[in-house]
Amino acid sequence: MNYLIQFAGREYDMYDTVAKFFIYSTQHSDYLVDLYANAKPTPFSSMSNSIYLKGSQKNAHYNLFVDFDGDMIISNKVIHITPHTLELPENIYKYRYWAILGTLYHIIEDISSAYVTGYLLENKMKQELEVFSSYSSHLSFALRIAVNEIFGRDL
Amino acid sequence: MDVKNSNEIITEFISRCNFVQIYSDYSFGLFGVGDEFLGIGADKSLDILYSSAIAANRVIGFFDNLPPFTPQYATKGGCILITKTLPTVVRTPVLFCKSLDTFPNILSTALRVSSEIALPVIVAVSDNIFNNFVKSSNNSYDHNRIAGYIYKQSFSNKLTVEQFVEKMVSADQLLSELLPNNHNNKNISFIEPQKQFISYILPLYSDGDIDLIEVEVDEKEYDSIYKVLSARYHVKISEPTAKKSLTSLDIKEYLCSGCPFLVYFTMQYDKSTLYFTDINCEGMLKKYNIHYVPFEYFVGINSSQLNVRTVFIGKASSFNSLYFSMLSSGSVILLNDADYKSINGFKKIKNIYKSFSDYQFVLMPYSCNNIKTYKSVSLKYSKCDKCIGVDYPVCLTETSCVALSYRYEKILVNKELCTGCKACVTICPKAAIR
Repeated sequence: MNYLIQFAGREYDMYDTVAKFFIYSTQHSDYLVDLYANAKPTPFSSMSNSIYLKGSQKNAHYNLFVDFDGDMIISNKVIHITPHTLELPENIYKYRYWAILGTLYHIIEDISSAYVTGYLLENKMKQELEVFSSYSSHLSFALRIAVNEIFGRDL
Repeated sequence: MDVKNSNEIITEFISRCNFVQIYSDYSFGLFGVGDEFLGIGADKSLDILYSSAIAANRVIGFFDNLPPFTPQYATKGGCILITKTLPTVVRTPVLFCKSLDTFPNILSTALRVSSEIALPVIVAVSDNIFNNFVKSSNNSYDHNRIAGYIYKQSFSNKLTVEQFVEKMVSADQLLSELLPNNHNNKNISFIEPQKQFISYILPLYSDGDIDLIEVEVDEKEYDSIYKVLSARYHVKISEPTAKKSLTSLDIKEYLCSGCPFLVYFTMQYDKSTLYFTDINCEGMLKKYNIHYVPFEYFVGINSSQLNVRTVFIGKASSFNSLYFSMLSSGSVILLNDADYKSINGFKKIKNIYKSFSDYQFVLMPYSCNNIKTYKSVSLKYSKCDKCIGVDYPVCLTETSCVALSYRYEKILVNKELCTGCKACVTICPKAAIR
């Protein structure tokens, strides 16, 4: 299966960390990975990258919109992963980057989250690990419906 | 982890290659603006870099839009000029880069070519280079360190046309070996990431082999590609198409907290007035109906009395007091980008949020590169709730301020980002922000 994953986020340090983890994991899987970047019109604009994962010969791909700070303007029926669609409780909002990263590992097959969990364990980031593990093992109700309908899979 | 971001790739190149002078436009957000270049515009910084390279220093500059540039003297240390837009005038070798994984190689090649032919080399990069990630690799860089030196002849012998052509022949020999141009691909694009582009272009030099390139371009790059390629090839360009790129994305735009344009327009905006600026900020130009021209254009426009009010909002560093005698109309708002204590004839404003509509010539306390911080704003939630009930909060939509966010049905102010410019205070219909 091929995926075009669009990332956008405004907390640059966190964005940099989670994007690197995700790219690293996909590069160590069976996917061919192409990376693209979009321009930032002002120094405070969201970072935005496109990651194309090629896992099959087909020309078609699935779109995933990974929106760490809820800044994307999306109108179509797509898979839009945001703190809002994850139904993230207010008390763990600050760990949203890890929750969203966990969700991505759950949705995309054949990529291993071992490197992320290893990093979080090694750095004793207990809360982050808890959030990451929780969201990499289940999907919110709204997101599960969208994924099942668009991907035709039962997650 | 063997994944690096653009910033890490560029800073590694700069530190390994021992550059003496580094200039970067504010918008790059990579290194900030070095103190030594504070308030100095791109054109003047380019002159400083170039003359520094003539004195055998190794220099590099990052420009949003490289000013037109003609090298007249030989450089000695290596001079790389990186630009985000295609240069429309080609008077020195130009290399093109669209992919971050080839960027270190292209920078090394640019440095080598610049050192060998003793001329500056321009590297035009697409949006794909900055804010991207790449699998890291071990790149070999030129670690040479040269002490600055200058001879009496350095500035007395201008390059002759023969010398220049000779340099271009050497450059072509080097580049055709290191970064060969692929002319087989007729469908090229500079901004579309999945299409290819030529590797380099040289002025005044033609090998006679290739004389026609057919290019399919989109609306945005139609003009610039034609100008660049027609300097070297016979170009046949197809009709512009407005196809949406696979990777393009609609994202909410944010202005810098304390953006002087935001503050000015929230207080003073008048629909019938024509606004001009010499500050090239893509986000601000997109949000406000304002024309991007140099100050000299504004002086020309206002050399007689006009039928409409005109306002120029620009950099204090690009103002010259000689212009005063030439201005017959128009207001000038200068943004203090170089910490001037005063400018003759201008009313200096201390607090940016205080009204100054009575003055024709105003010196604002800061500009985009040195935004000042005042006391942060605070919110009264009981009043703010009423505003949310009516529509999406206007303080967010109208200001696009990065310090404001809307979460869990609450407006939040990020105290770390808020500069206290009070643009949101002016806009809030319920006086909930103070």
